[in-house]
Amino acid sequence: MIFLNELDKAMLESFIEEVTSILERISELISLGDIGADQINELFRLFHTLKGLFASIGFERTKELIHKYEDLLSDYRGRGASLSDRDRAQLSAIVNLLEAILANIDQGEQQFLRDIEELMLRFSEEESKAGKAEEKASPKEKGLTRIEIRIDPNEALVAAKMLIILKQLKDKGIEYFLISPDIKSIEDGSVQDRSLIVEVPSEKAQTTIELVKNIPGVTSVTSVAEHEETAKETILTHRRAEALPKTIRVDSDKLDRLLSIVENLTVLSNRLIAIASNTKNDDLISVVNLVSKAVGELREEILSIRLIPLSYIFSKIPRIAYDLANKLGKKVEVVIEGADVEIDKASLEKLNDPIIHIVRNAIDHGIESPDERRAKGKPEKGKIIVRARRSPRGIVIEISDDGKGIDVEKIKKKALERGLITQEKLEKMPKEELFSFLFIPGFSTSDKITDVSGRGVGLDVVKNTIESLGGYVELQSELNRGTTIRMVLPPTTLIVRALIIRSGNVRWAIPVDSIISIQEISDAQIREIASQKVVLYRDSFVPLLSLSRIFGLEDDSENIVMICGKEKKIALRLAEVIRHMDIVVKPVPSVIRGFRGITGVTILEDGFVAPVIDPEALVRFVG
Amino acid sequence: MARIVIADDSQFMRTLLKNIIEKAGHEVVGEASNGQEAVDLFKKLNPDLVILDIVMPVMDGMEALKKIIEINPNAKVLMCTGLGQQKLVIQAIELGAKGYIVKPFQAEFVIKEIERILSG
Repeated sequence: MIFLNELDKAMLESFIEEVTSILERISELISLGDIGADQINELFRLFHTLKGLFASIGFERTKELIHKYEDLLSDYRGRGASLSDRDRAQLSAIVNLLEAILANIDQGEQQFLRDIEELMLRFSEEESKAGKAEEKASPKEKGLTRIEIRIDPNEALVAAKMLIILKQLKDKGIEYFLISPDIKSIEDGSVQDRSLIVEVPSEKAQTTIELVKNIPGVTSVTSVAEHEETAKETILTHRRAEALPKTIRVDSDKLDRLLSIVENLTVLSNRLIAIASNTKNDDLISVVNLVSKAVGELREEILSIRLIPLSYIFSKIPRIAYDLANKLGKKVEVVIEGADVEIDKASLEKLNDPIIHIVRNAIDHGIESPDERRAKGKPEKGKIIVRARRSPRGIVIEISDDGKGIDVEKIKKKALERGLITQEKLEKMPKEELFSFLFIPGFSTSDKITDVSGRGVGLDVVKNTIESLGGYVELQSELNRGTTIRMVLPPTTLIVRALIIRSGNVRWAIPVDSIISIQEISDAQIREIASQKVVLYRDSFVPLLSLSRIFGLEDDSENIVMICGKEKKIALRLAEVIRHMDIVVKPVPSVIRGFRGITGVTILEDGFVAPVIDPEALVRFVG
Repeated sequence: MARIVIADDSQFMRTLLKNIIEKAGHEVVGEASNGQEAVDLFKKLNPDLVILDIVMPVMDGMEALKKIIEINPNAKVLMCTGLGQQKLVIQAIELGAKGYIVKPFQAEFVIKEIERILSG
């Protein structure tokens, strides 16, 4: 169970959003009139979801209240009857209360316990009336009176005044329940409200009023017993109003449409720049540049609306990990890094399953039992590191464990058995490539691999998901040292400053982030090492590649070479450098999906499509 | 008519307070210019109410309040405070002060608060 203080902002927002939409739907159902069998079915389902949601944040009493109503709905389902007026009123009351709880979610359910108990009591009344609980005496009148105390607007020390009032009640032996504000804000002096609301036993109400009236600085003391419902509603509205201005909900389709309009604008403004620069009209050029800048800002803003931090997924990992480890009798420690890295909402939703899946796999098959780990001289507690970071390649999400790693020999054996490769080729294959077998559907699920080296169940699914997002998956593993799975997603900032080049009659876009230098070379500078062409760049040989050749086009490369890459460098041989521009990166169309070097495509100002290249991913093409 | 001790390091404030109190028909039986004097007067005179300024030399009002409550846990002490001292006032209330009055004094409020404490 997650408790509220562990929930981070994003989680909380998504919780609030989900509950809000459920409550809205319930309100809609209430407003529609007769609540018959169909509506009751839907209500039952909604209540069931609500119950789970509140249970997951540790709101026990709230959960129980929802559970009670769920039971009641379940009864109705059995009878096929329409909801009675009484139960309908109860439904409204519960929705109102849940809205109020939601609006004050960061304060926990404590301050609402009274309200919850009261609604629970209505159930027991109902039960006793229905004769289900014959023995139970009619529910004892709780006899609480709510009293609102208003503090003089001129009173300088509101918190101190409230404290004096409460102390006065205590000194006089009047038991009270503080409804609002919460005691913490009084004690630390942060209270803003000038209204103090308490509930006291009804027989003490008059004494309380007299007593409090005499405290200087109190302008009015009113009992709200007779108008309890109204009073409660006032409070609820009041609380709701406080929470209102923070967020508005927008259909994400609308954002998508906005984004696509802005992408068109970007392309158009690029064309405008090209046209304007031909006119040599400085005024026009400067205005066009300003327009282009404004379009850029607009796009950034729209993109940022769609961004959600990864903490939304990451924050639930520890719980899942500990639960699973417990079940398997293993010990793990989870380290989370980079949970604040933001990612597009659509990508985030798709990433959830792969990430959780990999973590579960790491614990299930990677991390050894405490005994086994001790025997290997490892700490008993296995370590899972989930790490996200931004890099020029995009967003990198790594999940590492220090478990048993993957046994390469087992992969080889399996690959041979399955006839996927010849013995000869296998011998030459570098380790990294051997792991790629694990991504073949069905390969890894076969018994031995899973039993022995673990990894693999559903890795093909992970790979497909990530590739559908324009990214790729890498796997590193060291026997007995552990495994790292790295998912690289294209930058969410879909606009990238890129250099447009030509190679093999195709124009390509290369993000300037990854370009180190562009230089001319002579044939003499090109060497060949192990049948791979290389050029010397700053004391080291860098593999020389040509985009046109990699992608099977006619090779028209000149001796222009672009050095690019961060960790691993490559030299790209090209025909022509065209120019710099801001490009809108769009997802890779399915026809050319699967080329890891292509992270997306962009539409140039003349309407032609240029693939966007990730130079580092091209390193893979070097044998 | 109640017997009251007032403690404030400013002669002017004491006079002001004394006027208000006496107009309401109570008696100021002692005046202290610091916390230590206030504690001594409390021991000597056993007044019905002590009004303590929070900020005073030698021993401040908070310290004096602690001493007085030590001597008599039921002592009636009213704190006297400037604006912006809410945290101290809250502390004083938690230490056992029965109430507070804010400078500049409003006679009506001061009297109301004194009456409230005396009757409680």
